[in-house]
Amino acid sequence: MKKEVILLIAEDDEGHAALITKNIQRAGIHNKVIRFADGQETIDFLFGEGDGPHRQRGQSYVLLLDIRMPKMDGIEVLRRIKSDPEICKIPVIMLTTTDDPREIEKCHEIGCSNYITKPIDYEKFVYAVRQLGLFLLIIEVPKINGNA
Amino acid sequence: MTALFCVAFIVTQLLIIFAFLYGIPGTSYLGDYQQNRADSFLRLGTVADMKKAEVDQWIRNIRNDTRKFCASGITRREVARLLSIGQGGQAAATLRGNRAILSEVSGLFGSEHTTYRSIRIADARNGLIIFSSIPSEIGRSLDQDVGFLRVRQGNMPYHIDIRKDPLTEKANLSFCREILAPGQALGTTPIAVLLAEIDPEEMAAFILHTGVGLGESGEVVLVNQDQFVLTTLRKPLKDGSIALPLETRLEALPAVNAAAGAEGIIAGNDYAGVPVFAAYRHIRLSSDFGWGMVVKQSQREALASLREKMSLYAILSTVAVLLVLAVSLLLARMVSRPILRLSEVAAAVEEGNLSARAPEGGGDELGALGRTFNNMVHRVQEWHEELNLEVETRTSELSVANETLRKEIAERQKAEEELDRANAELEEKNRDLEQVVYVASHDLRSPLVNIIGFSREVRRSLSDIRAAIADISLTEQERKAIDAILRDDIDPALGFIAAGTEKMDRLLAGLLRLSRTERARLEIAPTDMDLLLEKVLRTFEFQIKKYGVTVLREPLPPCRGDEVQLNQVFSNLVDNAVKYLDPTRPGTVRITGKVEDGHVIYCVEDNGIGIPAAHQGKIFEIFHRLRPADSAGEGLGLSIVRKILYRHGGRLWVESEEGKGSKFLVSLPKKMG
Repeated sequence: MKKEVILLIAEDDEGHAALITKNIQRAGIHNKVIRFADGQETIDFLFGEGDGPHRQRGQSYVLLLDIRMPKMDGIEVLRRIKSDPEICKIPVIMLTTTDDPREIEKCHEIGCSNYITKPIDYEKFVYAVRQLGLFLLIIEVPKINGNA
Repeated sequence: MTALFCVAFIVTQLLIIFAFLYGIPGTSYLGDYQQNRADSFLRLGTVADMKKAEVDQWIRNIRNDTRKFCASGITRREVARLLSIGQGGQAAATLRGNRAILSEVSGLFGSEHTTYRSIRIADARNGLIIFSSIPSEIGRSLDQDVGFLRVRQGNMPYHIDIRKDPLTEKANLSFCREILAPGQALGTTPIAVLLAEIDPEEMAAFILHTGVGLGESGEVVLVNQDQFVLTTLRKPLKDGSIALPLETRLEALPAVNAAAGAEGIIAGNDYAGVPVFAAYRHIRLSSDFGWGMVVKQSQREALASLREKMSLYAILSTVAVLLVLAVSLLLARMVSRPILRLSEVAAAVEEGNLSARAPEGGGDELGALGRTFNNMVHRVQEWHEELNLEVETRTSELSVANETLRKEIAERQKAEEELDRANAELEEKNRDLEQVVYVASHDLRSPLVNIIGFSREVRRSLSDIRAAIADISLTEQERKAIDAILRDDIDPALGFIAAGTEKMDRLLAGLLRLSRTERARLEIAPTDMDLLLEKVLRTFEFQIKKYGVTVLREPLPPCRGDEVQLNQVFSNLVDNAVKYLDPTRPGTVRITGKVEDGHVIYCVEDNGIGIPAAHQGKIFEIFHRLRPADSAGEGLGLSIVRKILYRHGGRLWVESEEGKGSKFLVSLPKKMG
């Protein structure tokens, strides 16, 4: 993954976010990380709404999106992203604590790029995040244009 | 009805009359008509035969008279002498004085049978009369007379016929006979011919007299060979003209038949066209010559007595018919009027007028009928009233019952509504509960991820600390103290944290599974249970071999269900069976199945440790574990199994004895709705 790609992490749980960030960095990915505490923040950032920070034109992003979040859940965020002709180009990797196959299916239907279960087994979790890191290293992330 | 009866009666009468007249077909009874006809025929035949005999006799007498005359030696000698004398007036004169012949002639005239009109003797050679009882005729010629001509030829000794006398122009019965010379042989040509002339009416006088036997219309008719009438007829012809003897030819069939030589009796028309019964006879005068005689009587007269009888029958029939009619009408008045009245009353009753009554007068059957009918109507009326009363009672009872029923229905509806509401509430609660379980298991895992994750991070930091401590210089005592904290306090603490969180995670995973089971969609299809169990047992191959378990599996009946979930059910049961075997004896697991009352019942049986009776009710509870210390698992298996079976419309129950083994029984409907 190119250095200029920004890693967006939408995760209400601060601990999870920290663990993910830590392990991604351990996997050798040192890109800039922006974290959102809920779905609404994420949407505001991407669509240029609200008072918080907004995305920049011509910047490339990858979004790690937790499903269970307050205010707006990950599935709704995903749906909004995928219904915008420009923003839909952002690769979205779903994060969830459940391995409910129906939930996974739903996300793939809407158009997520990948899906990661947050395992309690720490080794597995680390392995999964490392895999994610490898994934992020190889994918070609498009620049996102359009007004933020 | 009466008319029909009358017609039948008249027809019967006519049939009887017909039978009287013409006999009964197929029986020997011929009937009056046939009888009368036969009588008449017999009478006519008898008269005809008698008349014929009379005529025959009469002719025979003439024949005898003339033969006697002609055969007499005197006649023959004198005639021969006369002929030899000469011709003409001389001879006549001579003859007049010839007493010998006269005496013979007078013998003829003196015949007691017949009155002769005249006696002539003619010369056979030329027909000149050489002798006659009428002297003026002497010398005249008879050579045109048929009789003379026939006899002269010598072929036959005599000839008899009625013909017109060539001299007197009268119809005469003429008897011609040959006169031979003395000593002349028979069959040779005669020397003279005798012509004895007789008034035909003399014959007619007795012939035509038919006597009383044939009544007023009885008549005898005589015709010659050519059907010309020989006697005067009693009636005019068909065309009204009077018949003249030898001039009128009869065409009536009996006359024709008789003239032709036939004899018989027929019914036919006579010369006047009147229907008659006629007997006809042929009177043979010579070998090729004869007369026809018809004895007839009009049918009208012959059957007069029959007609009288018919008239009598007709009168009797008419009287009888009238009598029957009168009686019928009387009977109709007597019988049909009360019946009509009764039928009117019956119609009135039928229309609903139950108070209508028939007249009961008269001690006869009709009176009895009327009384019976009235009794019946009375009973019907009573029944009707009773019925009405009954209906009213029942109706009121029914309306009360209806009201009760309506109330009950309303109450039941209310109860049902309440039940529905309770059900809806329950469903909602159930949904809430599921949501709670789902959310809880999901959300509870989030902090766990942190606890586990960060305790790992702490451990990681701990090893970093150890490494850092190794590099810095510390007193032995300080190093020991730090080591003790790290090793004896933090390490075990992290260990407990890890174990606790892992257990927590397992429980939550179980809860998630349970909740997912609840929400999963069922894919019901016919399921081959033998195949399913084979798959299940394959996953337990390792444990089965490891513990040396004997698995007995009988062929299982198929059922309908979700294959994935049924797999889970039997995986759980087999897992439990293997898990709770008694290590002190060889383990046996038996899987059987049978069909019973529309259900398929499968049984997973083991000879394991068994379940104490007190625990048997609890094993299906969520998170209940039989022996928490001895076995792994979250205690959710049987809860899930029971949930799955519940959703299939099936059931799970256990039969177990501690220390001997357990039987887990699964019942599934044979057919799913």
